Amino acid sequence: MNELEVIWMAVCVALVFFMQAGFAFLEAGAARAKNAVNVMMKNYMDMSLGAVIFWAVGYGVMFGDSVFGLIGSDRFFPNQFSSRDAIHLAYQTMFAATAATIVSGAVSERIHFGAYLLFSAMVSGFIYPVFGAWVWNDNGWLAKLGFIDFAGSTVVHSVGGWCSLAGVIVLGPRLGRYSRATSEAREIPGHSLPHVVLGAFILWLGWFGFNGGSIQSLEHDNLGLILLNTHLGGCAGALGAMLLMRLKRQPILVSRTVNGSVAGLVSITAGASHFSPAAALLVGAMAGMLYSISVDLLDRLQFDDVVGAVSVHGIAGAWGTLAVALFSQDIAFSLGFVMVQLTGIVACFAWAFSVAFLLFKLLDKFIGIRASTLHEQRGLDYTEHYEVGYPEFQKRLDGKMI
Amino acid sequence: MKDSRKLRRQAAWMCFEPHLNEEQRLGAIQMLEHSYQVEGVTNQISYIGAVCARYGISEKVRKSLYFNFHQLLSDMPESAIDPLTRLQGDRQRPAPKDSLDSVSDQKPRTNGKPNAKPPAKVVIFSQLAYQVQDDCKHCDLFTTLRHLTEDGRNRNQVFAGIIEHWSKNPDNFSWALKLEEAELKQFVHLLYTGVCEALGPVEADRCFHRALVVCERRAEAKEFPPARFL
Repeated sequence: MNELEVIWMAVCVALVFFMQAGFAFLEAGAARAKNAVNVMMKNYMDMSLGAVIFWAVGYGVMFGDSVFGLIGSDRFFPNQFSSRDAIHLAYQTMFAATAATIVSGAVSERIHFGAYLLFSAMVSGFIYPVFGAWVWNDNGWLAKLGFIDFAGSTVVHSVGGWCSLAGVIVLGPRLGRYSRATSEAREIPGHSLPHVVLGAFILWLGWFGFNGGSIQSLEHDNLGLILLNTHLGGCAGALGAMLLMRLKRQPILVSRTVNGSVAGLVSITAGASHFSPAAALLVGAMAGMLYSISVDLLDRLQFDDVVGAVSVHGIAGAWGTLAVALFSQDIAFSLGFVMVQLTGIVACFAWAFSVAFLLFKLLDKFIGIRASTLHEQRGLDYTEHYEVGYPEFQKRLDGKMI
Repeated sequence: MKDSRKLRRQAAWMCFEPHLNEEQRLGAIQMLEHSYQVEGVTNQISYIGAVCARYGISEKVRKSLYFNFHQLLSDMPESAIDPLTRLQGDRQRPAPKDSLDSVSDQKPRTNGKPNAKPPAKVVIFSQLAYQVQDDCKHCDLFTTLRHLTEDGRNRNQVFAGIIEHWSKNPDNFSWALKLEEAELKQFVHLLYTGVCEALGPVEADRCFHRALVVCERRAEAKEFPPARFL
């Protein structure tokens, strides 16, 4: 890695870090005001705790000497590095925090903070790095099969998405979200759509670092194409979601449009260096539509995902990974390559969903993960953190200002 | 000069006529009177949305109602009635005070004196519960509450019995005299959970806000603020 590449990577570390602010804004905006502090605390601790856990354990699990192509066995608590290795660790730490923080939005408004922290630690220290070891460790079994995930559509986003699905299933829906009598889904609007939009903009900005920093070198990869494809994928995701809403004669919702663009960004992540710009537009647009369709499907199944994380990250991530086999301009189309990508997608679901499900069940059995209905009524800001997000504006249920 | 409040009542009455029965329309007019203060498109949208959410009007119909309401505000026929008179007539229903008079006829647990006034907490609780169940008349709140008391998380045989008794006498709260403050709080939470299950959390918050505004007006609220139940 030459000096210019080190500097570029350092910038990308900061950009991916800043994505946490994007997630915090987006998730808090999609939640009710009485839970805003709780959502943001979860995001903040995903970074604070997750980074330490990943440095201590996760990096070794992911990039240590691979045992049978499954798991790393050294480089734990690393203390001595070359500049290249240090930048690599810092960069991967941000990825680990991203995978963990995807879950926080899906399960918000009804999960105990302590239980969530324990789960987040397991994502950063075990679930994410083990799958990462299969794909991004040179000796990982999926890497050896030829599986390609350029910057983490599956490794980061689908892992986060499937963990979210497990959490949503184990936790159950928020109080009153679905009618017992008619199974009708009731909207629980978030308290700030401007937060949601601003969050998406920040994520979009960070994504230039997320994809741009995944290059092997400036000589090997076309950085300009990667950044262009990233941007086009996000644009197309928004347009694809809007088009589908229009075709279904639904109102054009800003929340769905914004989530559509994030789905586009997720999908482009797997093949940002492999797609042509036209293919990037197609992949992004499809991701936006798939997101919109899957969100409605999950609602019909009464899976209460507050921010649509399963659809945005899980489904769009899977699509983007498959799209590498369909639209890569570097690798000729073959059914074999399609099967390899499908193998990785299925392996990710099998690993992340099952381990996360088991962990949530164990946490629920031993410490309880679901906040009581009384705490849901009062808001987790006060019941979990003894703080209120908007003390000058927030009304308590008794009609008085706090 | 046009009376804008009258115009809004007339528009709401006509706008909802094809979709709501008379009682529901009166409920919609009440919501208008309570919450719609300043003219504006945002408030129009918010009001229509709130009524649709409360009475389960579909999203497709809701979109047409935005337009109809706006149109009626600009183009109201001269012959349109003002539903205010009907609303005022409908307000002649037994006030919760009647039910609480029946409470005060009983001997309260605290001092055994005949015809003693019920404790403030019971008065406030009764007012709160009465307002909530009155607000939720169009949904089957008692059935939902019964299911909740049979449910794993909220199973409670004492409350199950109370709900059975209450459902037969919705205006009578004499049973509240037998409950301690902690039990009353638990019951209020059960009520909130029930309204959430029946109408959704957004409507539940609105319903409770409205009930609390009424409770705050009672003299007993100085001695026992409704917030203590929440």
